[in-house]
Amino acid sequence: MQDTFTNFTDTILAHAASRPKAVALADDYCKLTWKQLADLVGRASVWLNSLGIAPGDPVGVRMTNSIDHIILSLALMRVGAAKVEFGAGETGRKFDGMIGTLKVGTLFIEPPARSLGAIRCVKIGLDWRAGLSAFKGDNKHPDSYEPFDISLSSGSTGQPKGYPIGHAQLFRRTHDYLDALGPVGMFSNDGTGNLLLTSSMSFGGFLYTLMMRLGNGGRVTVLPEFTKLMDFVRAVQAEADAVLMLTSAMCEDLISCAPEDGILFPQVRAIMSVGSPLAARAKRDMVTRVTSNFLEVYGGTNFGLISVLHPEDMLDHADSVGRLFAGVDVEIVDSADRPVPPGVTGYLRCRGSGVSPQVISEAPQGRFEGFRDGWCYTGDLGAIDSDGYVYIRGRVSEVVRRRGVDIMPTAVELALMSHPGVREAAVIGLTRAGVSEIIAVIIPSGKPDAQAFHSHCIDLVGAGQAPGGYLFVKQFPRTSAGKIDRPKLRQQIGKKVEATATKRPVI
Amino acid sequence: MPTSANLTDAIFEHAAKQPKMVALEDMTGRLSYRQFADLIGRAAVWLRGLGIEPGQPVGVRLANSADHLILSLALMRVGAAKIEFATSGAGAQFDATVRNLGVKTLFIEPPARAAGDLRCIAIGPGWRRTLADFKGDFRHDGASPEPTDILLSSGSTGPSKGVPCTHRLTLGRLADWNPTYLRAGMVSDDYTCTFLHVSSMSFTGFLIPLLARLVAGGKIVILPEFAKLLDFVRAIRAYDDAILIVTSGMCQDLLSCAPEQGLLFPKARAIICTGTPLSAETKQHALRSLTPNFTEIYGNAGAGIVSALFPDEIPAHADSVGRVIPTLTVEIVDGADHPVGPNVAGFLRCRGSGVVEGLIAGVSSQAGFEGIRDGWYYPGDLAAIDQEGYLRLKGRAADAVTRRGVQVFPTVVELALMSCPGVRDVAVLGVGAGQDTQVVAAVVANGQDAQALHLHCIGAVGAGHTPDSYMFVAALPRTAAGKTDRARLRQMVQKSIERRRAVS
Repeated sequence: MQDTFTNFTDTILAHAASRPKAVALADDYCKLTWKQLADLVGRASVWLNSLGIAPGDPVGVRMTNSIDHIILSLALMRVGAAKVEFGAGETGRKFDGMIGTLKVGTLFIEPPARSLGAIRCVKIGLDWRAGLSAFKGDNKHPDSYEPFDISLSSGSTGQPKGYPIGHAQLFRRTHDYLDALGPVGMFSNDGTGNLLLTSSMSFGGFLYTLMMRLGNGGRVTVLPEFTKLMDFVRAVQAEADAVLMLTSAMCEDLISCAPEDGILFPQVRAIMSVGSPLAARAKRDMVTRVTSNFLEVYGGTNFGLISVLHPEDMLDHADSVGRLFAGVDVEIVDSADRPVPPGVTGYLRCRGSGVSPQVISEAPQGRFEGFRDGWCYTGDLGAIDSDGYVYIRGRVSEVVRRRGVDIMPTAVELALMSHPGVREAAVIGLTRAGVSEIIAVIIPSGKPDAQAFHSHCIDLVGAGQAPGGYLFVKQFPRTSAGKIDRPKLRQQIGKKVEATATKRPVI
Repeated sequence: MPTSANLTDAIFEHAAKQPKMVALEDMTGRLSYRQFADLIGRAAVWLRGLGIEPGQPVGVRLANSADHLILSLALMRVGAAKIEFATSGAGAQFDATVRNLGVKTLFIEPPARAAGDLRCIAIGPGWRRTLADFKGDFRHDGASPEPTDILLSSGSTGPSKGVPCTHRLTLGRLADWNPTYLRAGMVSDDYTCTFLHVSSMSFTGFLIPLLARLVAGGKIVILPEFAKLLDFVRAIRAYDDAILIVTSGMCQDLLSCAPEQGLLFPKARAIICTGTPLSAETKQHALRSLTPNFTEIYGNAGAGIVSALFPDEIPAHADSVGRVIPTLTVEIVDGADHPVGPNVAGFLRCRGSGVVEGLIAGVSSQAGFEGIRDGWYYPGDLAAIDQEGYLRLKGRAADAVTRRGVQVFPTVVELALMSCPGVRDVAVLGVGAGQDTQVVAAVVANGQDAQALHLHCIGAVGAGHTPDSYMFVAALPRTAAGKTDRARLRQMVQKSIERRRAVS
C-alpha cells in the first residue's frame, strides 16, 4: 500500500493493475477478478454521480450481504459519501431516529423492501450490476479526511451511536491489522487466504475487516446467511484456505457441533473471534476442537485494534483478551483520570491515528465513554498486567452497585461460563423497591444446577461479586450484530421477577 | 417396473449405466451416480450394524443436505419405515407422534441433543468419513408389505396423521410425476435439467418429486435454507435450466421480489407450486413475472398428485387447481357418500394405485373428515368439479363453518380476499359455537381498511359468505411445511376477542 493514496479504493485499482486476473471477490455462484471489481467500482461511482450523490453526503444502506452490496460500498467510498450501514431488517423508531440524527438523505434498499415516505429510496435490484455497463469511467473524490463511513455502535446498551471513520483511519488500521495478524495467517498481503464474510456488514467489525482484507489484496468470499447451523458448517468446510471472523456467539455455536474427537475445521487457515470476549473454556474448546489457529481480538469499530490473544496463549492466558498491540497507545485510569498500576481495574482509554475523532449521538454520554482530552474512552472497564495482557471486566454502563460494592457483570459472566454446565451467561442488575440485586441469566448446556454454579462463582470472584439469583432461559434476545440485547433482557427478566414476586411475596 | 423393486434399485442401475453422471450436488460438492450408489450401499451396511431391521420405524430429523438424502435412501434400501420430521419438530405433538408410531431410533444433527428414551444418533459433519469403514451393500426386497415410508400429513388442522407407504406404492406415485413433469415443461428422460431442492424433505410434496427425478436419472441440487429471501432468489437465478417445486408461501415471497417488467427467473425451465392453492391473480402474476412455465399441483399425503393446472390452462382456468391426473379416480360426494353433479361442492374422495390402503392407528383420526372408507380415500377436502373436469377446492371439511344455517367455506373466502389490492396473506376461520358462531378473517395487508375488504368480499362471494370481522396481523402462524397453522391462529383470534371483550 502506498502512502500517496488518498482514497481507500485506490488500493483496489492498484491490485487491479498488479494482479488483474486474480480473484478478488466471490460468492457461491460468481467470481470477480481485481480488474472486474475495479471496473465495476468505477462505473458504480459514475452512476452515483448521476444520482447526485456528493462528497460528504450521508447515505444509508439497508441490504443483505452480497457482491453488489460490496461494490456499492466501495463506490460510495470512492465518491466520498459517508455511508451508514443498517441491518437488512432494520425498521421502526430506532431506525427512524438514526436517519434523522445522521441526516441521511438517500437510502439504498433491495427487493422486496418498499420505498419509505420521507426519504429518497434507491432500489438495488437483481439486475443492478448488469445495468452498470451503461456507465463508463470513474468518479473519485480525493479527500482522505472526510468520513467514508458512519459506524453505528451495536446498541446493546441503548440507543446506537454513530462514529464517523475517515479514509485515513482505515489506511492506518489496514497497516495495523497486517502487522498484528499477518504473522499468524489471519491477514496477508501476498494474496493468500480467503476471508469468508459470515455476518452482516452492518456490524462494523465485519465491514472493516472486509475492507482491510481487500485493501491488503486478499480475497473475500460472501456467504449467505443460513437458518441451519449445519449448513453454515458445511459451507465453511467447502472453502479452501479460509480465514473467518466470528462473534463469540458464533464460536459457541461451532463448539456445539464440533466432533468429540478431532477437529471440526482442519482445513481452515485461521479463525478470529471479535465482539464480546469469549469464556476461557470456550477459547480452549475453539483451539482443541474447532481450529488450532484460533485468535481472539479485542477492539472496537470506533478505535480499532487494542489486543490479540494468540493460540499459544490459550493455556495460560485464556482469561485475558491477549497482549496489547504495539502500535496503539492504551491506558487504564481511575475515576480522576490517573493511570493505575498493573493489574488494577479501571477505565480503558486509547488514542492514535486509527481512532475515530468524534461521536454523533443524541443520548447523553457518560464521563468514561466517548472523547475527552485527546483520548477515546472505550466505555470498557479493564486491567493490564505487567506482561501486557489485557483483561476486560465489563462495560462502564453495566456496572451494578449492590450494598455499596461495584459489581462488574462481564467478570461474573466469564466466571460462570468457565463452568462446563453453562453455555452462555448474562449478569444484569435489577432494582426493586430501592434495593439492587444482580441476577445471572443462564443458557445451560445440560440440566441446570444453580447451587453448583453459585459455589463455582464464589470460588472464582468471591461472595461479594456472586449473583443473588439465577434464572435459566433457552435463548437471549440479541441485537442484529448477535450481541445480547441487554435493555431487552433486563425488561424481560424484570417482568418475570415482578410476576413471581406478586404471586409469592419475598420474605 | 418389476414388483420386487426396491425404490433405490434405480439409482444403482444408473450407477452401472451412467457412472459419471452427476446425481447430487450440495455446498460440500458433487456426487456422481456411482459415488452416490456406493455411499447408499455403505450407509445401508452401517445401518444394519446399528441393528436397524426391515419394517422398523425410524425417525429422521435433519436439515436438507446430501448426507440427509444418502441416509434416507439407505433407510429405504434396508427396508426401515422412515419418518421424516421437520427440524423444528419437538414438544408434545412430536412426542405423541413418536410414541404412536413406535419410533425407537431418531437421527438428528448437531447441535440437537438426545431426547428422552429415544436412541438418538447424530449425523455430524464427519459422518461421511465414518462410512469409509463400511463396505458393500444391504438390500431389502421391496415387495414386502411393510411400509418403507410413513408420511405425516401437514397437521394444519390438528395432529399429523401417519400415512404408511410401501415401495410399490411410492414407485406408483413416482411414475405419476413423469407425465406431470412432461407437461410442466420438461421431458422425462432429460438429464440436462437440474432439479433444485428448496424445501424441507419432511414435506411429502417435495420428497416424492425429488425421488422421481433420481429414479429418472436426473441431477439434484440441494440448496441450503436461507435466512434472507434475496439470497434464495439469487441462488435460483444462478442455475440455468432448473426445475423447482415451491410452496404457495414461497411463491408469494418470490413474487414480492419480481421486477415490474420481465421475468424474475428467465433461465428457469419450470416452477411447480404445491400446498395451499394460490389465488387466480397470483397464478397469473406468477406466469407473467416468475416464469412462463408455471404449474400448480394439488396433492396430499394419502394419494400423491391429485390434479395439475398447466401453464397453457392458467389463462382460462386460474381459479381451479386443474384437472385430475389420468391414473387417479376422483369423485365429489355428499354427506351420504352419493356422487353430486358438476359444480356442486362436496367431499372429495379418490382411489387408484397411488392411494394408501390404511392410516396408522393412534395417529390417524378415522373419526374426522380424513380417512379411508369402502376402498376410497377421503383427504378431508371440500371441492367441486366442473363440466370440463376442472377441480376447484373449497377448503378443508374440518374448517367449514356453519353460520346462521349457511355453510361458509374458508378457502373460497380467502381466495376472494387475496385478490384485494394490498392483501398479502389471509386466513378465514370460524369461532364460537351454535348461535354465537362468527366468521373472522385474519389479514396481513399493507394499509388496513376493513370496510374496503368487506365490500369487496360481499361483491365476490355474497353477504352470506362474508366474514363478520377482520383482524389485522403482522404475519400468520405457519406449520413447518409452510401452511397456515390454524390451531395456533384460532388461539390468537380467540385471545384477541377476549381482550377486546375485557376492554369493552
